Amino acid sequence: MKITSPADLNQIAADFKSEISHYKCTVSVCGGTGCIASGCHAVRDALIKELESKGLTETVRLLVTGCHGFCQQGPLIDIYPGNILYCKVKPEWIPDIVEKTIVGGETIEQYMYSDPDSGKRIPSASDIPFFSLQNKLLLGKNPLLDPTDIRDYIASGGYTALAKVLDEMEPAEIIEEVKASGLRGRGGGGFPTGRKWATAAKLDAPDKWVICNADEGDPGAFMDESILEGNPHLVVEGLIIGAYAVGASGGFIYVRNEYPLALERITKAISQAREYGLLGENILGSKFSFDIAINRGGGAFVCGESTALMASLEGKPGEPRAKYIHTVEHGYHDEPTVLNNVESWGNIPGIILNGSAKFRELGTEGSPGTKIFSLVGKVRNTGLVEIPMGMTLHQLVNDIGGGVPDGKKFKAVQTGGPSGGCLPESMMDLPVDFDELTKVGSMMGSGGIIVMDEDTCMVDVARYFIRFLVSESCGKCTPCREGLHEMDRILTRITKGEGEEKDLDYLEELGAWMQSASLCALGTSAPNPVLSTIKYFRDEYMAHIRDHKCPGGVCKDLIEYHVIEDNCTGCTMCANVCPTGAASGEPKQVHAIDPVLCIKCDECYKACRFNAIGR
Amino acid sequence: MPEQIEITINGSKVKATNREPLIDVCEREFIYIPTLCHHARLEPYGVCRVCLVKVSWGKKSKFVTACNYPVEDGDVIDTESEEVVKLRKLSIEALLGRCPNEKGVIDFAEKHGVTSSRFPPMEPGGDDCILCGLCVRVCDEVVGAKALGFMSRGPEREVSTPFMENPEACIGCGACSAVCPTTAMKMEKQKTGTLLENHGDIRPCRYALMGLFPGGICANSYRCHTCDIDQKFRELAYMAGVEHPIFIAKPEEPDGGEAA
Amino acid sequence: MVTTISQTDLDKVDDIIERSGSNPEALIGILQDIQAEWHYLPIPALKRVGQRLEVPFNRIWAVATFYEAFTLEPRGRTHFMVCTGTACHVRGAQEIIRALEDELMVEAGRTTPDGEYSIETAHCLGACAMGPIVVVNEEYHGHMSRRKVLDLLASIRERRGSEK
Repeated sequence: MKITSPADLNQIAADFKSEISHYKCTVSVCGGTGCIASGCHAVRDALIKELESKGLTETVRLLVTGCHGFCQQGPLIDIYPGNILYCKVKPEWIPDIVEKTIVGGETIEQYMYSDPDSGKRIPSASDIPFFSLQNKLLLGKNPLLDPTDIRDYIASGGYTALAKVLDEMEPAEIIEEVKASGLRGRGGGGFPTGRKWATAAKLDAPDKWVICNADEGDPGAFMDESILEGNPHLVVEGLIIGAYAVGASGGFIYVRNEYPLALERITKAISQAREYGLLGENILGSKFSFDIAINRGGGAFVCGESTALMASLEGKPGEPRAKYIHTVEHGYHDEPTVLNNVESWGNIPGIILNGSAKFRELGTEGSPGTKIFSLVGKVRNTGLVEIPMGMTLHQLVNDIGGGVPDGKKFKAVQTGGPSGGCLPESMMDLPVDFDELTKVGSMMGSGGIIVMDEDTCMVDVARYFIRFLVSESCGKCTPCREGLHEMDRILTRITKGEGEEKDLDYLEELGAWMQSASLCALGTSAPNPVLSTIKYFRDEYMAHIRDHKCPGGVCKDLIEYHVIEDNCTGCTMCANVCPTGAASGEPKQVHAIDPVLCIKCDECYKACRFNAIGR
Repeated sequence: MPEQIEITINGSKVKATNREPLIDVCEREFIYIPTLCHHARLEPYGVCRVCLVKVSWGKKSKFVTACNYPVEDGDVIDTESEEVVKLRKLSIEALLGRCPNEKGVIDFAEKHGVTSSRFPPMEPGGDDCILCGLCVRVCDEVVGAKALGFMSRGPEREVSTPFMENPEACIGCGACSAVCPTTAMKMEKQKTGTLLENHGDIRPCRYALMGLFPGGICANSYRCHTCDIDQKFRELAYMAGVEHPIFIAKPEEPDGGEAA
Repeated sequence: MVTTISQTDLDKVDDIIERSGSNPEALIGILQDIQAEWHYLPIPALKRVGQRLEVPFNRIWAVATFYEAFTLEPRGRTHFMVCTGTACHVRGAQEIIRALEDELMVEAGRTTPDGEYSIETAHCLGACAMGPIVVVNEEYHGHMSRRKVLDLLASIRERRGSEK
């Protein structure tokens, strides 16, 4: 049915609410890609089977949703009312859960989240610090939203911002509101969104375009993926509002090739939006017509760069353009194009509905609003978090993240992906926003936060990022192509114990050259991981160069696996996991590792519970 | 009438047209800008980064490539400071390291004060291609055959024919070899040989295919080195001061008139 | 490499092209659909695309070789995709790749000569909290390790063996 007025929207919302009103209870299974990898499909199937066999399908609503955020504890089930959270759910628990919690109304302790320090069981998600310290403006609806049904989105207030815009606001007003909100590009660039829209709106051209950049190339980042999987209509609504504001007739969502589920969800959302008259001719009965096409990326990090993305949209290799022209003026087909990130578009409906002043209540003066971060790596509570800008790294990693697990020491936090840098413990009180981290040689970037502990080698990390960029560089310009290759060669030598002290000066010289002379932002920001690790972890580089040691125990040429005899209890775990028989010994006797047979695969180190393996 | 503006280059005020490529302004003012991937008859490519200069306005500044930077009123350009020269030399050093045995690169490097390179070649024995793209671009923009292109990316990037096969689209004009600054492009003899094998004298003369005169069928079975049509166009090119007949202006007269 | 494909295959290629509206800008999507059908990009299919869309072959070749998603070599019957995103890297993704390469005796990015197995690395699959991730023929496996991936390979081989 085509929606032609706000009244129609209200009707659909009312109809849907009444359709689900017979449900007494909702079981929400997190179905984000992370939980799929930890086995949520088996949990879902078990639930379907159990609810059917117990005749509960009319009273219990089973929802498979987008990311709830607490990936470490997945598969997750949230049960409403009560917001009861069960963690690391196994399919064999389901009959128990259905009988005791869903039917019986009792909570089951051993399925709940357990505080790692006190051991206390916490039944409700809202009482867990991981959740209670967040402000989930964008992700909050995920657990109770069916991402495959537009009516659910409408019932929760969806598309009312669009209705307000088309009914009551002029394009100039919308742009003023977005400007006033201070929203800055969430893809990492931090450019004021309102200002970008204003520039495009003023231009006169036969066609204008809006593009949603869902390429999300930073390894370790999955914020945009989760928005598209969990609440795709939020982005669609934002795009339509933006298109109306700048006068665009067409739009694109450029989705990364490696996100099949996100692609599926956004494709369905768009086709439903068309069905309901929210895309196409005369949207909501107005004179405004607009539609969105979905383009898949081909697997190229460089396509996150705006001119490369547009080249890709035109069916060409994703090579950035060497031109001093702003894509907002000359973008797709050389026409005015507003390119924004998924999370930026996702913020728009809220800003329109609740006003820019409300948006500014969270965050800082220079970086208002919330930001979604993917908190991953060596941290207890890995997952997706949404917090106000300005929270410190310490609060993020320790209060929400729970700190470094397994008794290991914190070493560094990497932010901003391959364009960012690594910061040590001494920088942890810095607030996370668009400006503070950049001042010290890193950057917030798109939101990937990778925690590293004592078992990480910072030289290896620098080399990892350089290797990543070597394979992602388009290869057109001399500094990036030749410079990255050369940096890789030098870093590899250092990891093998063949480095010299002057190598560090050489790396800095190469870095300065690439920063100034490269054609695009991939090249100019490529040296950051190297330069920031040399700045903050020079002693680790020197250990490799001068002492031929790898303090993190990673660089294979510089470590030798051996048993720390004082700690060894003879539990035989190392011998059990050793693939070559290098680790061996009698039960309850001190074990030994034969360096000739050892292939340095790290399995014994990971298996040992007594700190008896040294590297 | 495009807006006339004023910019400063190396301390001197200079007149220019708004958004004109800086390299054109410099050429007019006899300010030398070294280039490798630039060609007056092709769209600027901006990849070698050798033409890098510094532009400042107010307190802000950035490094830009002169070949495609559109000048604006009040720009303060610096083409020869230590800072700029250092960046330029590193790009040249990198290319010399990539192609240590190419005379064209060695001579160019030496001319700009680079006599050795810390970069070992990526390809064992050294590469012969600096990826300037002149061959691809001339075949695409001027000849129109589009028989060459790039493949892969990053350090693997290379010039290639489609599917790495002998390209159907190639007309054997030799423009790619003419613009190549190294010895990487050597296609002419091999290609005309193939064309001879495949088509002999029923195929249009490559100068006709280049649009330099209408309709002529090859009368010499592609033995271009003895052909007087080939001779004529090479003379015209010589007189016009360009390296290859493809760059002489296409004549108006149907009988194949003079170069403009 | 395959040098010709059958008429039925050419018809399938034509269908794929038509479904995209025969739009030259949809080239990347068209190649992805071709790859989904044949598990690699056969050159005759690429030539057909160029002819139908009137896109010069140099651009077809550039696009086919630029993007990571495309392979010109057929993938194995069992395809291991190992995530090498940062979070997966710090949790030991390199060891998983090494284990597979040693066991299958083939480099990452290639297919075994008998066409049974192939290994590929991906720059982040978006399941960062569950790393290291290995996707085997579209099935996601989280918290992988060297041992787990070798066990998985062994069970696949066992199943293949018993199929015969």
